Amino acid sequence: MSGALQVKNLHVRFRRPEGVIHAVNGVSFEVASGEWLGILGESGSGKSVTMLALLGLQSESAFVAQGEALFGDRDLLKLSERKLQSVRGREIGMIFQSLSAGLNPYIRIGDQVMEPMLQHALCRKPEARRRALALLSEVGLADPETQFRRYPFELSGGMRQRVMTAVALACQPQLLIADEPTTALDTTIAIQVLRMLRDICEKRQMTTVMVTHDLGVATNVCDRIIVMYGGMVMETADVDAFVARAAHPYTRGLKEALVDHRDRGRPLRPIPGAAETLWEAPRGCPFAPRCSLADERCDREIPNLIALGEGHEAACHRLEEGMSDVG
Amino acid sequence: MPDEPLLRVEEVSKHFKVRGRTLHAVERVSFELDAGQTLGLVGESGSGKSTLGRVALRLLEADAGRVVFQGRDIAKLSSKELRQERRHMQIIFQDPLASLNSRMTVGAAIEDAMIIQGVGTRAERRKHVDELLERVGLPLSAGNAFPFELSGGQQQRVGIARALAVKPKLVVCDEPISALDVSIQVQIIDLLKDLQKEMNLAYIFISHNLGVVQYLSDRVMVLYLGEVVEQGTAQDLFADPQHPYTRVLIDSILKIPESSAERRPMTGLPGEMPSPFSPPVGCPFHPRCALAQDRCSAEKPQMRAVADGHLAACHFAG
Ligand SMILES: Nc1ncnc2c1ncn2[C@@H]1O[C@H](COP(=O)(O)OP(=O)(O)OP(=O)(O)O)[C@@H](O)[C@H]1O
Ligand SMILES: Nc1ncnc2c1ncn2[C@@H]1O[C@H](COP(=O)(O)OP(=O)(O)O)[C@@H](O)[C@H]1O
Ligand code: SF4
Ligand code: SF4
Ligand SMILES: [Mg+2]
Ligand SMILES: [Mg+2]
Repeated sequence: MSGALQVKNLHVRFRRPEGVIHAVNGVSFEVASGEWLGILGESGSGKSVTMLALLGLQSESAFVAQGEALFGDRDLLKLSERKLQSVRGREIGMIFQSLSAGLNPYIRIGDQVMEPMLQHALCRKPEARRRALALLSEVGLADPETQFRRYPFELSGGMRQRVMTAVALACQPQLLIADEPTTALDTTIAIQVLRMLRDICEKRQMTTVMVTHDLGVATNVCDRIIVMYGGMVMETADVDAFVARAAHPYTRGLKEALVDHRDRGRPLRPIPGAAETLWEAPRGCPFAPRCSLADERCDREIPNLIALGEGHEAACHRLEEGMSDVG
Repeated sequence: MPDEPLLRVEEVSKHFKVRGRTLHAVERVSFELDAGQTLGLVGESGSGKSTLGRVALRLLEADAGRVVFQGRDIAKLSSKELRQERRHMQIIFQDPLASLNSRMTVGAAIEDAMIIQGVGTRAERRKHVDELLERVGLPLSAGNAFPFELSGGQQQRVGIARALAVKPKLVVCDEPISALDVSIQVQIIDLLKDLQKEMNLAYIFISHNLGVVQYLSDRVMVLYLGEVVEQGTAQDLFADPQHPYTRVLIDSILKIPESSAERRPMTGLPGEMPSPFSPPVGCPFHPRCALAQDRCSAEKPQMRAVADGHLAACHFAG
């Protein structure tokens, strides 16, 4: 079984009355079978759009301008909607970011967890029910028998997020795409859900791509991390390189901006400014308007990813030689 | 009454009926909140934080207990009086997009909050919308945009502008930053803090991000299965947590490790989460507490002071 995924030069745009939004501008990454890849990045940097495009779930106004997404021997971007339907929810499980998007408010949660198993004809109802109950208790819902018959609106935000995780895992997918799966959870339940995912990853060689903005989560569970900005990959690093030698100015800014619970009383250090909507393809470094190191070259030339060491790359014109892992 | 706090919540309970069974969402919770202060609410997912926040604003009716806002029991207000008080009590949600009307422009949505409260003339409202947009860090052009055209951080700024449009005294912030990126989170926290100072706002701040709760809160309350298990100043509670549950909650924060070899083991709480339909007898935390003794499953610990202004409901705290 292989859940490996290879995304090559993905471009996704949106048609809007005012023009075209360039949401994803040449994203490439690979995940090996059984690997756990974390995706960090600025709000609006194209993380969710990338994930949705891989699954053919982007909104109507979106179109994939270019790119490949190799999953097994297939290119997901070239599959018909019918073929994709047999992949989604079965070979690829997904957890959506929006708490309101993932579940149908009018269907009991038990039925929603059973649904993919029945839809893909993996088993019959009694077996689906048994598995669904087991999954609900695995994601930490107390009293699954009673929860089974409740509606999403009766659940807290964190409980809904865990039900979505159970739905995503129902068919034992080879690849899990999870967009912010722990943001609505308290620290202890987040750990419980992450450990469960980690165990499944190891037991079944499930491959995981997880979008998160929590650096603590990313660095504690992922094997490798990519950092996005302006619809492009700014840095790729394994966890050790990420914690010790993050090189890109945006990645460094993110680490600086963390609010630690011991920080009371000290001024916060936000990255100034905000990301802007890209109404045209970037011509230079997308981070330049907010980067303290930016010079005139950054505005007119897109930086390429440069290898800094084993499995560590960053896209910045001003990476000093000294930042390289090996040199 | 000079010492009357802005908000006084007394022994409030909220139960939901779920297919014939009773779910104890909030159980006899009491607290006070003064103008200009922030109360942080933390605790396990499903422990009743959002429900408590809604009961405090009478968006949900309490089953027992009293909520006293500016000296008046809000359960006793006529619907007209309630509407007037509402103006002083606002809420900001986690999912800003879901809480905004998708067919209304941002400017219209902010103005709508004022229209509902019958505030100002049309011209005054328009002017105030522009002031608010500017104050929360949005370009004036955002007034003509629809919510889905904005980024998550911008949508949350709209949510804040809308809540502030009617000059409230109390704002419940229900996970206002959890959907945002780290760098945007910091900007929103700064904004909330500045606005609090300017307008003397009181916040009930609900979040799973303990770092941010400590940063923003004056006092913090920890909920477990609908009950308060500990409360104290943000300083004391995080520096010297007294309840075993609070300790696990704080220990479970995932910090950036020095290297992959030093990652923390993924152990959170042992055992199953107890059912909210039949909370454990005795201490609600006893089935999962590492320090539990025989007494804990027999006798319910009462909230008691372990230090000045620091309370915990554990037989062995202090
Ligand atoms: N409308 C409702 N009908 C039935 N039960 C409800 C309803 N709203 C909330 N509950 C139940 O009340 C309990 C507390 O829910 P609440 O939303 O207050 O939790 P929370 O502490 O905000 O959790 P989270 O951190 O996950 O948001 C949960 O068990 C939930 O299922
Ligand atoms: N349905 C949509 N219509 C128009 N633009 C969109 C839509 N969804 C996303 N975008 C735009 O695409 C870009 C990337 O968004 P997204 O992938 O959601 O970011 P994030 O990295 O925060 O997940 C943003 O500029 C966003 O405004
Ligand atoms: S390329 Fe220039 S603008 Fe971009 S991150 Fe590097 S220094 Fe900053
Ligand atoms: S009363 Fe007993 S079970 Fe409850 S928290 Fe204290 S030691 Fe643990
Ligand atoms: Mg997203
Ligand atoms: Mg909640």
